[in-house]
Amino acid sequence: MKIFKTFIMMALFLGATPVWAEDSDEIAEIKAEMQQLREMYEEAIERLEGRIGELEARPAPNEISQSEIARQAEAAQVTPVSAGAEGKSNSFNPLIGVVFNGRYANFKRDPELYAIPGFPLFGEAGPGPEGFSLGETELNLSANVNDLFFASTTIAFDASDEGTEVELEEAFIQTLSLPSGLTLKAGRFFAAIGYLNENHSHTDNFAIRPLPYQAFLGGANYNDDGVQVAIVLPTTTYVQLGAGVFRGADFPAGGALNDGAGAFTVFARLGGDIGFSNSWLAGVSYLQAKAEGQMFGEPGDVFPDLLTFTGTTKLLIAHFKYQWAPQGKIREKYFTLVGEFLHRKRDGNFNGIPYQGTDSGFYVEGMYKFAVGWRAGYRYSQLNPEDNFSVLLANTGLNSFGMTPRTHEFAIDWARNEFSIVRLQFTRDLSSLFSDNRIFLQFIMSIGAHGAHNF
Amino acid sequence: MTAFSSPALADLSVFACEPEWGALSSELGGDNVKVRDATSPLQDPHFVSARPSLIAAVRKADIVVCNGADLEIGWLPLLLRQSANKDVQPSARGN
Repeated sequence: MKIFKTFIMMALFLGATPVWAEDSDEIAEIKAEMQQLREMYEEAIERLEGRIGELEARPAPNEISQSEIARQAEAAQVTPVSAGAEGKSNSFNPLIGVVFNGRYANFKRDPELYAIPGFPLFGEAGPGPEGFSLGETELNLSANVNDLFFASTTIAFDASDEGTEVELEEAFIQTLSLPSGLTLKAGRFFAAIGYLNENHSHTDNFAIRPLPYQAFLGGANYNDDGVQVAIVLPTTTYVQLGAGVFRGADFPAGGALNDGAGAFTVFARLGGDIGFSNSWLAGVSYLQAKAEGQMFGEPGDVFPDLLTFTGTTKLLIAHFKYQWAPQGKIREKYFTLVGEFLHRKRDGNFNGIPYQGTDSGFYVEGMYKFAVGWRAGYRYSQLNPEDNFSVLLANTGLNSFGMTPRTHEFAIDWARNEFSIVRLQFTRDLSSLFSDNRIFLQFIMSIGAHGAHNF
Repeated sequence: MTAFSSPALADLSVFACEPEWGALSSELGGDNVKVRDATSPLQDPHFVSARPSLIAAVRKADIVVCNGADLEIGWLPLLLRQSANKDVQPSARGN
């Protein structure tokens, strides 16, 4: 180790030589710089020496070679990613990845009868099936098309008792070389609103989406066909501004109104660091969507009659994320706090009866990584219903019975690395007329190339 | 290592994935470069979050100097794409 240190010092010295001889200020500056470098390296070397000491202290050499093999296997698993992500843009192979997602769920109440009073649910919203089930299996293909474009598609195979549905979740192109930090995205993709909306649900920290996403975004994402423009400003603090126009075919839009341009978004995001260990992100976004003949309600609801909405939905979302990771060492320990507030205003009619209403909801979640591979988290969600509407709609799912729906969720997960996660979750659900206790045991694993996750 | 081609410009902004490459860039460029290290010597450069501050730093960079060989695979491709900086994309001048 001594020799190594001396070698580094010599190398630094040689590197510094040509600059020498100008004036004493500069020499002092260089000296200070070298001192700083030396301290940095010595610290790093000390850590390495410590590690080597640890390894030497281990009695069985077999163990070491096994862990080495595991490490190499891990590295090998990551290797295919290099082909397109970092390689040359005209590389032949796109990145291919598959995400597996399976679970066992136990509920006290029949999930088929799940309904949130005051918030008629749309589509797949809800806790999902009981017992063993395979969720969405996602196939992702992506690559840089050339130096100007990036393209990506995600196809989800959703296996249920009725058969296997294939859903095209995303298929978009994105520019890479527009000037001034501009990006244009076109195709079908998750709109840049809120925090969770842009992320695939397999990156979530809990088994199902929080209540506001169940009620306002159909339990999943707002993904629609359209165009989105964004700009990242050349500032030290991260600033991204953008807007999008969409077909208006996905909830909360519906029916592709306005000649197939029935929804639009605007968004702004800010972010930065506080020291080496703290990072933050905050954003505000807005979605305006038109819908015609949007049908809510399932036969299992308290009010089995179908509710049909025609009108405009205005959704305002504010979100934040804060991360604390000592010295940025996210592998060892971190704490993240994420919160979103969604505010919805609807103007139109339900079953032909005029309706103007405002409701809202929020969730806050904290995740703590307390050891390599282990995390524990808690999430609280709540909805605030609208109670002021026509008496003619009192006997429908819009009636909240004076309830404030909410859930408490506790999760603990283990991950060998980011490609394999096993999660145990307990939910105390107070969002329905009858409270429910839910237990989820879930695995999420991915093979092949799997792009990095957003902050 | 990614190709290092430094055009003779004053105040070249360098985004270095590891402090080693940052130190090398400083030595080579002297006063003409402004170096931002993405990681500290204490961090494992394979495990880094693609934080907003890093996206902002890549956005402002003229050149990105990284290790390659998949060391930064978990965060660099995302930073490059989200930064929307055309000068540092793969196969561009500053990558």
